[in-house]
Amino acid sequence: MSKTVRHVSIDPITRLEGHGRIELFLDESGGLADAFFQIPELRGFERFCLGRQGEDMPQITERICGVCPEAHHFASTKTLDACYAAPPPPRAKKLREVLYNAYIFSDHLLHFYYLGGPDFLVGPYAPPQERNILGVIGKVGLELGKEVIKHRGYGQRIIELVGGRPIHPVSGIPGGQSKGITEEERTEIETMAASAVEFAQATLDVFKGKLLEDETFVRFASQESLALPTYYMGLVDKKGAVDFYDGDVRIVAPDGSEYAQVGASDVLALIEERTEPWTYVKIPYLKDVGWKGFTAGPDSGVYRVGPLARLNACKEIGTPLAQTEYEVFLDYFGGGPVHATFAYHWARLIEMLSAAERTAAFITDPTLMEGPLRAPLGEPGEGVGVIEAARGTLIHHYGLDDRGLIKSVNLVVATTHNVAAISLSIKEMAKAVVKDGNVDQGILNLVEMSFRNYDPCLACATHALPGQMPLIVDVRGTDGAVRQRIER
Amino acid sequence: MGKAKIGVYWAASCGGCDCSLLEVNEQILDVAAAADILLWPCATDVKYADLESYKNGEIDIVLFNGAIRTAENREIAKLIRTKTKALVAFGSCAHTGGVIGLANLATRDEIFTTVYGEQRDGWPQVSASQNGYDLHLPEFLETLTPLAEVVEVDYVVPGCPPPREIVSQLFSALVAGELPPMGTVFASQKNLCEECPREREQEKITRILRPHQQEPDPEKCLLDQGFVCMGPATRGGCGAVCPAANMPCTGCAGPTESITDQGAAMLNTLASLVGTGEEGEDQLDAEDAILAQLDDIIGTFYRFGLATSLLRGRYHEQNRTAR
Repeated sequence: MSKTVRHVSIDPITRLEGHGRIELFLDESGGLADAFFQIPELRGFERFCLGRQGEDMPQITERICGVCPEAHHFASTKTLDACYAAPPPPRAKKLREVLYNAYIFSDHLLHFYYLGGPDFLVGPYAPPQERNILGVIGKVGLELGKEVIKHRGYGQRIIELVGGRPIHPVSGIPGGQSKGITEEERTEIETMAASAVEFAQATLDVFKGKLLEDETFVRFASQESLALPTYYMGLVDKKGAVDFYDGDVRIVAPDGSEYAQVGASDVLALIEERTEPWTYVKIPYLKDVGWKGFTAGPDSGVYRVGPLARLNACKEIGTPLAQTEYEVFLDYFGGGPVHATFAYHWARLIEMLSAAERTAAFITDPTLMEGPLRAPLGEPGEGVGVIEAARGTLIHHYGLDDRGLIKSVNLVVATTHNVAAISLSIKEMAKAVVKDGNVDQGILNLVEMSFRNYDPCLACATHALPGQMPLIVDVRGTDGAVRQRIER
Repeated sequence: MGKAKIGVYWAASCGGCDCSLLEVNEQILDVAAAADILLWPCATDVKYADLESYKNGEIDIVLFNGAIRTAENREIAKLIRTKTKALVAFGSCAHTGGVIGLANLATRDEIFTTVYGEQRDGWPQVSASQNGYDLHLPEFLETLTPLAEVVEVDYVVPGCPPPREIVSQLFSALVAGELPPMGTVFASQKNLCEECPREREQEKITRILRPHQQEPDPEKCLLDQGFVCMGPATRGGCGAVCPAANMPCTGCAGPTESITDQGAAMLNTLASLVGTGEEGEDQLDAEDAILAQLDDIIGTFYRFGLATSLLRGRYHEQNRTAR
């Protein structure tokens, strides 16, 4: 079958974490016939984690992703807390919160100024050589540029002081933290956190001044075909406020009604996943809604995670300055849930402010400086740990044997949840902008901007829950028809 | 002299090495002023077609992180080698295979079975047809290898990821246009213990402790206390940050120059330190009993270096005959 007259590859897709490729197939009229988002990488953590010492997992699994190692480090540590039935003492939990919120701040900053933001701060059609952080500094000026670098450094410095290293921290152990901080370090963090709050506010001003005034951004944020009415998943605390480190998983339907709210150990039962022969990533969806193909809407099990999803799944933000910004955001879009995929950029910056506020609050908590760092451990067993990575809900699930060695591992990673939605967003964008066979670099960059909304981490994405979970595989003939469906 | 032309690439990696380049904070602006970036997928919009269009040797230096896991990693490594004058194995994965080298404990089929299930028909395929369109994936290679097994490497920057001070030294040399002689390893030439703040007394080890089992004394050598710290067999240069955070060194910087096999060297060191004070045959039994407390020898001693160790990985008879 040769429907296509032209095939265009975007290879590799850039300004993201990990390897990806977009394949566009154009029809006779030069419009889009079909589009595929492929992930050409796999490393196999699920396999080689077997037999490792449980307590080594925070340091092994953080090597899944060096952009968000803190997310894997603490998802893993929380899983071990559960495996050893050892909730960390207040001091250890607060230390983790300080580090974790600094990570969310730093990671969101990275995306806005270094990865996704250059598309607007420099311009979607700008020469590719300029569409990067250096181009951003050229546009916003060296003064703000240095503030960007300084505050990313602050986030990393806080991670280093609490976690022992700025990238791939080491402090998380089952039931606690390996180290505390000195009063001098605490004071340093307090100063940096206060500055981070101001910088996050300034960044929201940049967003409002540049992106909300940018014709391309406003058009894409309001374009019906680029909005995906999907389900949304995020962690919330007891009040229903966003919680990055802990809480229940709340899922809302496209109309905003609650679909489910469950504890960490029950979340895996809500998800099913499928394998496609043309990509190394597996594609999860809501089991009870079902897989209806790459499509949105209340009848499709496609759901989203990450900043926009968290803002849609929560009842409030949980910190005062960010709450005010959240209300401005909701007003702009006429109330929630907000389905506009380009709203991810805005949601990310509201979260960046909230994370800075949280770091600033936790660092003055008196329990941070006294009391035990470790809880007594129970016998090793099975546990699930859920955390909000910058890119969305991250789930680790281990079984430990009686020596505390790993006998089973499930990892459901933030970007993996979003794979179906990203594929859909890429296709809708390509449909909207590829016309008359024109695929110059500016047009292709518009196609790439559709995935950058999600800030995907594709090194992370090729890890998904193997083993116990149900799996459906469609075996297709060369004509694309399903020949056999394998289910387990 | 014109501006230097530099590149950064990731193969099978986590992105931590790319982020480590930003850890130098404002120094990155000096690099940007002194050099044009011709390749950096994480941060710039340069595509493979652009890379192919460069003349041979057009790039001055490429910092290559990540191991060779897929056929694409291998092809791009070879392409980059032709385009650059100097190639740097940057970080543990490119240098020694890294944590992901532990995948060499399993065959490709075992990895796929774990990740995608028993049904081979449902596994990702090198060539597949979807909705009538032909789609291709790079082959997932049977064995993971470090960069130097695929192409010649000129410099090594060890670490997972390389520490800020080391990256800063490399950048300073780059900006000054004064790179050291090829073959240089950007790290300390001594082992980690030389820079560790803890007090080592080479006490006899009477039992093996895992990090979650006991809170270590903050001043004393972790090895003296029975924690398996890879310091003696590992290159320094990071400032012993993990032991300073009450956690043992896991060996990410790889072995010192004089060591062939990091894991074997550390096992050897450990074997010489265990003892209970017993003598004669009882002594051997007592030492064996202590060493039997090691629960995961591969994951502890070969965490970052399995792919370049003497062990290499599991021996696969069926693969050997298939070739």
